[in-house]
Amino acid sequence: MTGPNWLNGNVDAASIDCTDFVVLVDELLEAFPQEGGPIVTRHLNECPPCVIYLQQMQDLRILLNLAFRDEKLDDTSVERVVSAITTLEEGFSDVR
Amino acid sequence: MGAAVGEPCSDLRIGGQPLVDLVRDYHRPMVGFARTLVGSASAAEEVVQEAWLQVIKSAATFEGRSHEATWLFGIVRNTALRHRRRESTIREHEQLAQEGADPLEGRMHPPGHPQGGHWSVPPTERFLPENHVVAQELAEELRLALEEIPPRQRQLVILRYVVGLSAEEAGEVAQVDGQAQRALLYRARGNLRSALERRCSR
Repeated sequence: MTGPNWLNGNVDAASIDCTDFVVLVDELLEAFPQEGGPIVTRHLNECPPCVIYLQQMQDLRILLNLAFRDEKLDDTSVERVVSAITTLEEGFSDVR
Repeated sequence: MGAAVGEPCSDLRIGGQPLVDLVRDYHRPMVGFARTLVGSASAAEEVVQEAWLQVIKSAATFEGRSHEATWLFGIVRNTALRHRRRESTIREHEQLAQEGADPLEGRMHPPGHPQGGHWSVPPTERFLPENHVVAQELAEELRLALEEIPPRQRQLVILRYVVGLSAEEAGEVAQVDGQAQRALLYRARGNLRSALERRCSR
């Protein structure tokens, strides 16, 4: 994958197409560089499918947060893991 | 130098953080990350146990110059790679060819077409309705879909979106430069998006 043309700094707004936009979405969802704002806004104004694509990627972020919000262990599991590590460590100490 | 003699692991602190807090916050993502580097779930569990031992041994050497998660995941990575060398098996999942497919292949008109560079098969609807009622169900689908994407893409999704590392920190742990990381994340998000799209069109 190569970067979109405008990121190379030599292209005007008219050259942004959907292929460029789907790459730009990543930047848009991160910290969007100021110079890209009007170019992307203009494309979005003219391209309903890319508006939907952007919304889908925003939804993806929401769903990723939701899918992994319970990744933290509960107290019992923490105790179990720490106990396993302690046992392992004691085993290594005995060998040494 | 690691934990002081006689000091229980549970009292150990790493960069000011109690070990138990790190276990609570990072154990599960560490297993998920290790799973991208070794061949089975049980091997990933073993790797993370070994990694915790290494963390305890090296606790005193953590200088706090990096985020503790960057340090922890770096240890997991090194431990997993050692583990993999011990197994000395070239696994199918190491083949990078599978990383290459563009998730949007066939969805855009090709160059030369009158509408080249624009959608030929456009997305039709967002995934989440306004009231987000199906969100939990879709989130579960997403968890399953994450298991299916190529390991290097999965690594970066875990590091960036589950653990919350910055691009620089994730690049340091996964040992990929900025451009490669952007490419892998582009494909990862595209693959996950495609999975949700398939789910929503059923």
